[in-house]
Amino acid sequence: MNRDCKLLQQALVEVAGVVDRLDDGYQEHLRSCETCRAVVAEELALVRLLDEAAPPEDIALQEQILLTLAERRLRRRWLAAVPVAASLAFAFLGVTLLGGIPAGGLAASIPAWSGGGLVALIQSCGNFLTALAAAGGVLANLITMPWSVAAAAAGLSGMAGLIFLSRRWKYRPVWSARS
Amino acid sequence: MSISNDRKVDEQLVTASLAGDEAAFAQLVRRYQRRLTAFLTQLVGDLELARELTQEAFIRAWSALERYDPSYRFSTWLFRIGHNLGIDHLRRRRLQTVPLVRQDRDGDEVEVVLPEKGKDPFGHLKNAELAQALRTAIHDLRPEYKELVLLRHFGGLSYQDIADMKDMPLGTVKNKLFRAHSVLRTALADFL
Ligand SMILES: [Zn+2]
Repeated sequence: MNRDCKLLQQALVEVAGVVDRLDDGYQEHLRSCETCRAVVAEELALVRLLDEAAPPEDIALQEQILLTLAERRLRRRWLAAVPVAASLAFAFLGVTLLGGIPAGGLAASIPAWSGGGLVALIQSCGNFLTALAAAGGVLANLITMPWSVAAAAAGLSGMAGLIFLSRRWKYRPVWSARS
Repeated sequence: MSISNDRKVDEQLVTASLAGDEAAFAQLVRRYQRRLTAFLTQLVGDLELARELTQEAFIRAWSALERYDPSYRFSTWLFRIGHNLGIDHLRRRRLQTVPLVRQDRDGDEVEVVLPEKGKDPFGHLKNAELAQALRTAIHDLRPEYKELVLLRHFGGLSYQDIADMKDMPLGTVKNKLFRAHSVLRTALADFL
């Protein structure tokens, strides 16, 4: 095989045997070279064979993939909500322990937990600002009251959790920034 | 559709997917499922397994979409994920089983692949003789040729995509595919 034939046949493989896609120089060689013309026919037939050998489109598989992705999406949403809920719960617990509950805070009601305790909890939910104000009043006793120290730690860790999550979830347009 | 147009559509679909558009990723699945399954079927020699690996590749691509580097084409990235999954599987299988071997035309030992019914990569071909010839011809290709032929003809990747994916100069891809086609034309001469 001479160099021209090799170059033409290499180009022929690249254009999948479609002669029209070859440059003029190659076309000219083709007109004068019987060997290369024979290769064109074989190359076209080979590409057709390889095309046939690929399995057909698999709609069932596509649907299965999309279904699995939908399940993963749902799971991802649930999992994403867990740390936020936990942070909120921690922050709320901290504030309520610091005195958000009437009559000495939620800590006082824990040992005698009952239907009344639930009402107190609900009331404290509705009166979040009062709880914050009450928390300020208790700050002076922080050092001496273990419950208050725990409450402050819980509230602060909850807040820190929320800040961390909000920073982590900030949208990063990876694709558009690069292109 | 031209290659640049094709690429633009992929870019738009990835951007939309990243913004939470579920239909956009579904479209990517429909665009690439056939080609990825075809490529993996030949790579692992088992249609059923290739379907599982295709699913896994799409799920991994979806999970890692934020880390996708857009300087590469989406198809190149997706095929790289699929290729790695296929190679990992083949490695595990090689560790677990003792392969049957036979001698090829050059006297080298090659593994004999006996496809099970329903798993045969060429099971959809009506001509059993042609299926067998194709199976042997592709299987007997040198590994570095075989991989490029699979990416080009079953995966439908362009020469440039293959060069990017394999980290190989474009000229080398051209040369290897040229040689691989010469071998295939000879091996399949009765059917051309
Ligand atoms: Zn010639």
